[in-house]
Amino acid sequence: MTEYLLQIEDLHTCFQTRNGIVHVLRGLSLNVPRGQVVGIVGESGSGKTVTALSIMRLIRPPGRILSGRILFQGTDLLRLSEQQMERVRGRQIAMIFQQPRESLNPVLTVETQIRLVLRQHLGLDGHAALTRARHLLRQVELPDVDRLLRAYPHELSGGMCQRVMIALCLACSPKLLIADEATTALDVTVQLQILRLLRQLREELGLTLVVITHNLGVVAELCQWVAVMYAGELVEFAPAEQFFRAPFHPYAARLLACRPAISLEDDLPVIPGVVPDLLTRPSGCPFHPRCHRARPRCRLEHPSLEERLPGHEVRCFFPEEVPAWTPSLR
Amino acid sequence: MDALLEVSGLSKHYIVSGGLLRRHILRAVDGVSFTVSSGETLGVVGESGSGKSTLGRCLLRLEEPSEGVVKYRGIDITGLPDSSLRPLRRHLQMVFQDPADSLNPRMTVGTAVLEPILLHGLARGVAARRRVIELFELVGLSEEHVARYPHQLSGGQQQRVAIARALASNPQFVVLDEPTSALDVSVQAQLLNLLRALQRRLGLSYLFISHDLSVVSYMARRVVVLYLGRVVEEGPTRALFDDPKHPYTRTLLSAVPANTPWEQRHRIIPRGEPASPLARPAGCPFSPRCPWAVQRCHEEPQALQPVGPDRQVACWRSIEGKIVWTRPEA
Repeated sequence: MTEYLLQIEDLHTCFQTRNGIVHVLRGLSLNVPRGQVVGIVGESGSGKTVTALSIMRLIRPPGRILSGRILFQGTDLLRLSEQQMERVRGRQIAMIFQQPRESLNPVLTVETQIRLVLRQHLGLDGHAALTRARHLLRQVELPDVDRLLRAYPHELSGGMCQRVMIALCLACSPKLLIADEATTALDVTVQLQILRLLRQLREELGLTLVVITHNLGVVAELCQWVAVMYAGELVEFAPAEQFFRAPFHPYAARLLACRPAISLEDDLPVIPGVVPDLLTRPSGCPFHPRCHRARPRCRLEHPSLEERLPGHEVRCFFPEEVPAWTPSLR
Repeated sequence: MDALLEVSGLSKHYIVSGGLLRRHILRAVDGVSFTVSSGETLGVVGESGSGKSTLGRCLLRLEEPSEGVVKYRGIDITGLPDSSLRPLRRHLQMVFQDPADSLNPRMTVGTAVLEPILLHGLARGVAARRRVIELFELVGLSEEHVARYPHQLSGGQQQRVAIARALASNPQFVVLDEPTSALDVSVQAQLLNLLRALQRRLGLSYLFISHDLSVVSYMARRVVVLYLGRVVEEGPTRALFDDPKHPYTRTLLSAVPANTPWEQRHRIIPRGEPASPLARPAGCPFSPRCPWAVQRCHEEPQALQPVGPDRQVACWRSIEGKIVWTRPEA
C-alpha cells in the first residue's frame, strides 16, 4: 500500500464576490504519496493556487473553505486551531511562490531573514543559528555563502532569490514543500538549475513535493504523478509516464498536443474557446463546450472520477482511446 | 526576397549612475545587425537582460538608438525627424506582452482599434466603423465585441484586440514582443495560429521576440540568439536548433524542459550566475560561464562569422572546430 503524506478529500473552497459566490474548488480529492512529487497542472482559473492556499489554510475572507478534509499525516488540518496550524506552517509544510523577490523582505539581509526563521521556529540563536544558516545556503548550492549572508534581496538574481527562499523553507526541515509556479518567472537555464535542486532535495531529504505549474515540461522533468485540474475539479490523475504516453481526458490530451514544436509545419492543434469564468460554469462536464469528443450526455450529466487503469483516474464519459498522442512525432 | 528592414550596428547604451561621480555604461544592445525580408518572420531569442525588448523598441524608434542604422525599404529611419517619421510609422507596428497594459481601460476596444484608422486618415465615419468590424473579424472576434471594455474580455481576446489595433494602419512590419507569454497554453496555440494565418494572408513581416524557444521555433524560419546585447548566433531555425554552433545556444537549448518523462537530454550547466549587462566581460560575453572557454575567449571580442550556408556564429573556437560538443554532463 502506498503511504500518503497528504490526502485531500472532497474539498470545497469558495469566494464571496459582488456577483455572487464563486465556487473555486468543487469537491477536490487528491492523494500525495510520501516522498514523491505530484504535479498539479491547469490553466488560469482552474483552482491550482487556491488548492495550495487551502492546504496551508491561507484562504482569507472573502474566501472560505466550506467543507472537506485535508489529512496531513492523518491529522485533519481543517480541524486544527489557528495556533496549532501556525506550528504546521513552515515547520511541517512550506511553500515557495512565483516571485521569490516579493516573498523576501527587501530591507533585511539574507542572514537576518534566516535568523528570524530559525529563532521563531526552532529557538536557535547566536553562533548555532549562523552555522545552520551557512549549512542551509550550501544545501541549496549557493556560492560564496559569507558574502551572500550580508546581501539584500535586490542584490541577488531571480534564481538566487528562489534558492534563498528554498533555503528558508528547508530551515525547519518540513515534510512537504509546495512550489507554486516556482520556476515560471525564471530564465530556462536558471529554471533547470532549480528543478535539479528540487529533485536532489527530494532524493536526499526524502521531501514530498506538490508542484503547481502550467508548464507540462516542468512536470515531465520533476513529477511522478500528474493531477490535471479544470474549472475547480480534478479531471485526470495519473502516473506521469502513463499520462505523457496516453492521457485519457480530452482536455489533457489537447494540452499535451498544443505545445509548440519546431517540426510542425501545420497549424497547432488548439482547444477552442477559453477557460470558463467560474461564475458562468457550463452545465454537465465543464469542459464540454470546448471538447472535440463531447456528446449530448456531457452537457446534461456531470461525470465522476473513475479509475480506468491502476492508479490512473479520469473524469470523462468518453475518454480518449489509447494512445491519443504519439510522442515519437516530436 | 527583398530586405524590408535592414539593421546594422544597432546599439542602445544607457548611463547608469553608480554612486558618487561614478557612471557606468549599460550596453543593452551592442552592435546588432540583421535583415528581415518581406513576408518573413525573424525570431529573436534571449533570456532576461539579453536586450531583446530594447532591440524591438529601437527598431520602431520607441527608444532612440545610440548608434547604428535601421533602414526600412532602404530609407534610414534612425536619422529622420519626427515629421518625416510619422507617415512611416503606420507601416511599422508593435504588439506587447501584456494586452491589459497596452489597452486603455476606459476606452471600448472598438475605439482603441478605430483610433489609429482616424489618426492615419485611412478612413472616416461609417467607412472607418466598417473597417473596425472587418479588423475584429480578421482576428477572430465579432461585431459584438466592439462595444466592450478591455476588462470584459479574456486575456486572449484582449491580445486579439491589440493585434487588430496594430493591423489597423495596414502595417508591413510588426514587432511581436512576447505576444503570448502572458496567456494560457491553450490560448497561446490559438494566437500563434492566428499570427501565422495573418502573415500568410496580409504578407506581413514579423520580428518575433520571445524567451520561449519552442514558441520561436514554431513561428520563425530564421532566428538570432542574443546574449547580453550581442548576437551570438544567427541562422535558419531548423539548422540552428538541430546543431547549435555557439556554446550559449547549446546551453540554452539543453535547458529547455523535456517533453516527456522518458526523454533523455544532454544537459549543459553553465558556470556561475547570469552576468549583468553592467559588468560585461571584455571578450566573448558568455566566456565567464562557458564550459569550453579558454584564455583567448576572455580577452578577445568575438564578431559574427559565417559557418555553413546562411549561418553565422560569434565563437572562434566553434568556427575553428576546436570544440567537442559531446562533453559529459557537468
